[in-house]
Formats: sequence, C-alpha cells, structure tokens
Amino acid sequence: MENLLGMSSLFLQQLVNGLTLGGVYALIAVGYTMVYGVIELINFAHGEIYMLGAFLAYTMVTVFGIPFFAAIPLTIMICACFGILLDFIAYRPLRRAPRLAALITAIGMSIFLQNLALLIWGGQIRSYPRAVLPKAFFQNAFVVGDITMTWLQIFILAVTVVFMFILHLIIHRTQVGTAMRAISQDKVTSALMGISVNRVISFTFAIGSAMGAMAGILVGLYYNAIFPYMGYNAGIKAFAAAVLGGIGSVPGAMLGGGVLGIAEVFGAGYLASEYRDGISYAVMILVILFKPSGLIGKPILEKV
Amino acid sequence: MLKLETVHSHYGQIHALKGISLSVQAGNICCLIGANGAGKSTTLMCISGIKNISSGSIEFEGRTIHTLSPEKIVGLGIVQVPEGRRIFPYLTVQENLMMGAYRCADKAKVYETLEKYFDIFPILKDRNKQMGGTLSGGEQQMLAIARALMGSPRLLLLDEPSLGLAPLVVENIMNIIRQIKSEGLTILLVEQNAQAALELADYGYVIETGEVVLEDAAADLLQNARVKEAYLGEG
Ligand SMILES: Nc1ncnc2c1ncn2[C@@H]1O[C@H](COP(=O)(O)OP(=O)(O)OP(=O)(O)O)[C@@H](O)[C@H]1O
Ligand SMILES: [Mg+2]
Repeated sequence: MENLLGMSSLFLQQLVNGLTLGGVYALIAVGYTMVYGVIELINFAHGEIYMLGAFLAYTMVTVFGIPFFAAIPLTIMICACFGILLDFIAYRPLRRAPRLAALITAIGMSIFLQNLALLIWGGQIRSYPRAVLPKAFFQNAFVVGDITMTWLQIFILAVTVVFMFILHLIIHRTQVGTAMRAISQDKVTSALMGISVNRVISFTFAIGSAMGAMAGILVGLYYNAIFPYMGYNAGIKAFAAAVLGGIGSVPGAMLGGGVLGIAEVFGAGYLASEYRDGISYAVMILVILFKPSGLIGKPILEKV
Repeated sequence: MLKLETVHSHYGQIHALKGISLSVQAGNICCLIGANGAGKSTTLMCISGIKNISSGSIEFEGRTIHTLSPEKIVGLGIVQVPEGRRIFPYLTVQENLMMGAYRCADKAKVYETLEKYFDIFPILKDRNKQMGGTLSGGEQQMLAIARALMGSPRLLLLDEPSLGLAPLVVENIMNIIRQIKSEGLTILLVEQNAQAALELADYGYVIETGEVVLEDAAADLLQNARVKEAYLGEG
C-alpha cells in the first residue's frame, strides 16, 4: 500500500513536470506549424529565435537592469520583428524558387544565428543570478504528499495556456487570422481576393516568433541555462511535436507538444534519464512511419 | 474601361498569349470564347496581376495596371471569380465571403453587403456556418460569385462559371449574371458554353491558341458561320 502510494505520487509528479515541459514544446511547435501552413517551409531557424529570446531577456535583466516582467514584452516584440526580418531577408526572395532552396537557406540561417550568438555572448552557459528574479519563482506553490509544484512551474503553465488561447482567438476570430487560413488553403485565390499575401506571411512569422521567444524565456528560467546551441535541441523536439500533431495544424502542435513533454519526462523517470532526447526522436520516427499525417492530421488538413 | 494591347505571356517556353488585344466597355458584358488551352484563363490571370506579361500593356480606366500587384488591382475594383470556383474548403461560407471583403475596412458596410448577398443567395445564408468544401458545385459557384461581389468590384472577371454544372443550374447562374449587370457592373465573361455566353453578352471575342481570331457584337457572332461550326455545334 505504502509502495503503491509512492508510485502514484511519483506518477503525478512526473505528469506535472511533463505538462510544464510539454507546454513549452507546444509554444515552439506552433511557430513551425504556422509557417509551414502558409509557405510550406520548415523554418529551421525557428529554434534560433527561441535561443535569441532567452538571451535577449537574460541580457536585459542582467546587463541593463530591466525588471524581469518588463523584459518579457520587450523581448517578445524584438523577436517578432526579427522573425519578420528573417522572412524578408532569407525566404521572401526564394518564394518562387524550388522548395529545397528555401529549406537549405533555413538551415544556413540557423547556423548563422548560432554563430552570431556565439560571437555576441560567447560559448559558456549563462544563468540568471537568483537575485534578479522574483523570489516566489523558487518557492513551492503547493506540496501535496510528495508532489510539489513551484510558482515557476505554475507561471510556465499559465503563460502557455494564455498564449495558446490568444493564438486561438487570433486565428479564428480576426480578419488576418482568417486570411492566414485562407492562404494556407489557396494562395492564388487569396491574392485574387485582395489579401496582401506577403503581409499576412510577415504577420505569421511575427506571431510564431513571439511564441518561440516566450518559450525561450521560460526555458532559460526553468533550466537556468542559456547558451548559443540551446535552440538546436529544443527546435528538433518542437519540430517532432509539430510532426506528431500533424504539421500545419495548430491544435495538433499543442497536442503534440503536450504528448511529447509527458513522454519524455516519463521515459526519463521510468527508464533512464539518458533516454530523454532519444524518446523524442523515436516518437518522430514512429509517427513518420505509421501515421505521417500526425495525430490530428487529415491527409489534407485545415492547416493553420 | 479595360484595354489590353498586344499582350504576350509565357509559361517558361510555352507562348500562351501571342498578342491579345481587346477592350471592355463600361456597363457591358464582354465575353471571351475559345477551346481548351486557347489562353482564356491566362488572359484573366494577366489582368488580375497573378500572371506577368512579357510585353504589351493592360490599362484600366486609362491607368496602366500590368505593373501592379494583385491586391492593388483588386483595390482598383477588378475582381476575378477564378476557374473551378476555388472556394476555401476549410473556411465557413461566411468566412469565405468575408475574405472577399478583405480590403474593405468599414466593418458596418461589410455586414451590410453580407446581408445583401444573403438576400440574393438565400442558400448561402442557410449554410453560412458550413465549410465551403461541403457545398455542392452549384452552391460553390454562387458562393464564388458572391465572394467576389463582397469586394464591391466595378469590373468582374468570370472564368467559366458554368463549368460542370447541370443545365438548370447554368440557367440560374446566367440569370444571376444578368441581374448583376443590371446593377451597373461591367463583366468580362470567359465561357466554353458559347451559346449561353453570347446570348448574355453585348460583345464577344473568339480566342484560338493565344490569339484573337474574331470579334464582333455578340448577336452577330451568334449568326457567324465559323462560330456556329466551331463553337455552337451547328453547321
Ligand atoms: N501553370 C501553367 N504552366 C504551364 N503552362 C500553362 C500553365 N497554365 C496554362 N498553361 C498553358 O497555357 C495555355 C493556355 O492555357 P489557359 O489555361 O489560359 O487556357 P484556357 O483557354 O483557359 O483553357 P480552358 O478552357 O481549358 O480553361 C495552354 O497551352 C496551357 O497548357
Ligand atoms: Mg481556363
């Protein structure tokens, strides 16, 4: 009996941790999936925007002494603009080129941005000094039996839920969101209706980058480790989450992120922590093999 | 109102338009007829700014438009109903209509226009929450026309509105086009159904392999021996 309780509380603790992580993956994954929805491009540099988000917030707080909660919106705005710039410089000139060209450019931008970060911030791992962060983050919000949840975890979950909700409203209740969906279904007809396709694509990059930057800030806090290559691993995992849910589908990315986060934490907890990353890759490979359209994917889906 | 002057256009090596010249008078229905692959849709796509032209010029009300982007051209009042209707399949009927009014910032006016077309096409009102892709062919054609009209165009380009529809539905669509014209809209109509198109139109052009081979008042084209033989199945 004692043993059983012990097991179930471990289970719940893992679930809480998995959801926290999954929320972050979902935040990044929607960026991949939205951009894919409108221009059929896997934006490999998306992970780097997430990394820049983490670094920018860190620099604002530690170097410029900007309060943490003010650094968040600033970082998000800068990264949103950066996403637009990325599309403008790297992808827009290739809109009519073969898709492989844009894909290779995306990989190139990813490597370029990693090295840019390396130049600016150096290679060592940065972490927030505790003093600059709200104290409450590290205090337990509640302890039930063996299960604990810190305020930081609650903050991450809350931010994730709020951002997803806002995203849902944008996509389904606004004119530009409807235009995003229209473009993902038929670009030529969208242009014939007078939709400025390029402007809507810019908007899509802005939204995706904003979500990615938020994720970067959250992960920077959660693991307290910020480094130029952090976008690589997170990017691949979020991409796996997007594929798992069905690339192009926003609800799919949310679900995929959640499932992947939980699978990863459970795998690490019950098998061995070294399997952590392997689990994401295994999930991605299994999905590609057995259900390439993803969990929510219809063969041709509503996309965005 | 609209004037094309020796317009050439290519798809890679394919020379699709070989010097098309035509003009559309305000308040008229002008029709383009021609066999498959003649270049009718290409002509409309050039007018809408989707397809670029290699040489020649396109003018709308005295203004050169072939250098403008598609959304600017829509802004001037030229809206196209593309071949095959191209409804957004995963947007609802109402969302499809709202996309037609994308450039109109005045929300109140947009809803007013929406109500107007719900009155003209009651079927769309009944289906307004349904996905566009679930409508029947005839309903989709009505939606495509209503969606274009939501943008309050002055020149409407219609690409084969009768394509794949039953005769009764075709008649219905032709009546709608007549009604639209009576409200003062200018229409450039592309049709394979030459009989129906010429009965409706004021003026017509016959296109063959990227060239205008014949033009005349629609009533005269209906009597023309060559048209009768090639396009009306008589002769
Ligand atoms: N996207 C494209 N790429 C290459 N060639 C094209 C393309 N679209 C059209 N063409 C070619 O251009 C020519 C004109 O085609 P277009 O679609 O304008 O004909 P159409 O008169 O509209 O025919 P239909 O009655 O079948 O619709 C054809 O020879 C066609 O093969
Ligand atoms: Mg055609």
